[in-house]
Amino acid sequence: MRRAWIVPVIFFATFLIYPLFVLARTAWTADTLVSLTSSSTWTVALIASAQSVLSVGLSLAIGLPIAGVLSRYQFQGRSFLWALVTVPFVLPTVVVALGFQALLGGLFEPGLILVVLAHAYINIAVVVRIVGAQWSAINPHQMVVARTLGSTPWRVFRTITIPNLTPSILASACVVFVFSFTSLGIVTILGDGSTTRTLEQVILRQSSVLLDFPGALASAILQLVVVSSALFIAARSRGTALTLRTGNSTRTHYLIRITSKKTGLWVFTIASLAGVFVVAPIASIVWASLSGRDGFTLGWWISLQDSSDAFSRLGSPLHALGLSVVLAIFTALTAAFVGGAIAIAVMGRNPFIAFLSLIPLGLSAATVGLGTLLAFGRAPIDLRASGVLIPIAHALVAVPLVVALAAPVLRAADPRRMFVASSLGASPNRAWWTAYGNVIRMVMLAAGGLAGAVSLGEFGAATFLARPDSPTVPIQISKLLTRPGEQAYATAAVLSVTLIIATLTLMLIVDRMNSKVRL
Amino acid sequence: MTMSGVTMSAMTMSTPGLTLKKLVIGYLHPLLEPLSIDIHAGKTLAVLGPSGCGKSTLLATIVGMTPALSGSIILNGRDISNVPIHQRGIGLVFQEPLLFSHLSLVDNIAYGLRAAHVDKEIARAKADELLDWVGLSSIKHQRTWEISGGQAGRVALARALAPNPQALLFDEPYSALDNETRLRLSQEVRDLLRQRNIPAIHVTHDRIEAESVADQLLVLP
Repeated sequence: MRRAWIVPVIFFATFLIYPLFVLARTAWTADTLVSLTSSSTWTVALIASAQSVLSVGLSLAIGLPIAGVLSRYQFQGRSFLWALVTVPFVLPTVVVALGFQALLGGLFEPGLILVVLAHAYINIAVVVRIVGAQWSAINPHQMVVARTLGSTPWRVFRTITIPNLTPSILASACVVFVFSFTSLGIVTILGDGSTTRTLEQVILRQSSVLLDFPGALASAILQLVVVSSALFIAARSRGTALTLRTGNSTRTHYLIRITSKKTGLWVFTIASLAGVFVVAPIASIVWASLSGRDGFTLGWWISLQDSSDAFSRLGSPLHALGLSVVLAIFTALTAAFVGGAIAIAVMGRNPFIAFLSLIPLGLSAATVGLGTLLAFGRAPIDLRASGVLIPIAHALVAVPLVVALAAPVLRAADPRRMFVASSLGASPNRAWWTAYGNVIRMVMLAAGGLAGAVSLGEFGAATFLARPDSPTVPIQISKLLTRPGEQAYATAAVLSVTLIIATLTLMLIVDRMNSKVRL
Repeated sequence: MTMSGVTMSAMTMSTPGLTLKKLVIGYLHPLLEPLSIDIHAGKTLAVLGPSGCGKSTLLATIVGMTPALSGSIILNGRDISNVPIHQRGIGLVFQEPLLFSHLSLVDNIAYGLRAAHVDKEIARAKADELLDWVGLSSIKHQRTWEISGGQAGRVALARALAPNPQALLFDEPYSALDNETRLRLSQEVRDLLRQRNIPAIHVTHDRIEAESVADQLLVLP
């Protein structure tokens, strides 16, 4: 078990570091520097930054009241609402984009408003999780003490609550900024091509349409710098938040009973609005898949098999579904294997592996896809036809999420069990497995499920690596949405509903796995 | 003196400070029979009883966290039953120090003075004095999480005293301290309350502690 770190090191060296090296070697020319300093690259970066700042603002405006309600008050349906606001984060981005197109497409033209709304939708969970963890750790008695010292409720909020939350608000803002800055699926479907452009889109266009690899590399470098800076600030802020949290109290969670009608009404209103905001886009997609000119119909679902004939050069939707499922299974297996090895290394307090596993978070999915394509998608090593590249790229994209999910569980595992097992005569390996086997098994299953869900909805890397005649479901949805006609739109809706069901089922399984872990 | 399940002892006859008149406490339903008690200026009422008997609810009601079901709370002649927490003039010290970890020790103590719009420098100077009084001026530059539980408890006490409260409530304030510190601090606090004529209620489940701080004793069933 001590050599478990070898697996992630080999995996990352082969499928992350080497492709990045090939990308740099292939694309690094004098033109890269020219592109890096060109006004067009920086203009896109500024446009993406402005869009991301707006997305951060709206995410916080929507997410903070929800975080406040969920992390402060005990009420019926609280656990359900907590799960519900997490749903948008796990949905495929193209599905979210379609949801907002179906819901608000009649009111707004494609552009900044729809993009910012969709980004806020996805990122509610980020704000609620990060800020909520801090908020729920503030001892309510602190507020009482502040009141007895002469503070009005508003002054208590201003001088106690806000200063305690500021680091976690900053951390969540940085994470939302990163997700919005590197957005691809949403800006492709809901964007207007001018006020909503991102570097991710530019990388895709430069490398797959213009074949301008030096330009693509320049965009990737600039994006990496911005993303890394934001993640660095997020990490620092989370550290400060943790210090304040542990400095405040030994407990991590305080819930308050609702004792006044005014508070009850406030909680009910926020919870209801949050529920409507989360459900409305999903309901719009479901309705789009079940409605035609004459009202309710199951026709789009029944004709899914035949609809491939209607869309030239797009392939069969059923084939895309089958392909996505197969890719998700292979991604799950890869991520479970690598994730399990990382888990063991993380438990062994190996900071290098923990750092290595977070690198893909700083890179965009498109950069990972492009690097993988250049390294393994052409002679002398052409694995494109083998179909292994997409699961590998998806596993890379999923690994940081897997580590984020598993690390707290693993660090909390009690090492004394191993000593107890040893003292009872177990061999070193058997003692280790007795102490950690249950946790590792659950982490591997959860990692597989999470990575499978990521794979089902992943758009950026697959855009590079999937063959044009054999797209994955998210790619096919995005292409269907560019086609005119009711059938294309309805077929995209049917595929989206299928993805929603598959993704939520997988996440439910992951959640059950996680809750089964007994330390 | 016995009052419907509530036992009191040693009542003195000086000017009343804090008076509870037929006070009924509880959430929706009464937890205890109506309480009527006078706590005179500078005196301390110790409330003794097992867990769940209503000790903390009594404090929560007096301080204004929980509304009384009926009855009234009179502080220095003023009925404060319906006055918001921040205008009652009652300080509160919990078992946990509950220091504000985003503030320095001095700013923790100065918090109540700043809430009363006292100039920042004046508030800090007074906080310095109080920090000195609790014997912690040597660690004034440390962060809240860098000091010991006993030190944090003393800062919490100084913080509660800074805005000159008209009454003080203590919810098992010394339970995290060692015996020596507990005895010394409780004696110092008792002297201070007498010196400043502040009526106080001290909730505890420890009979020895109750007897050491009390001028009056209320035993809850």
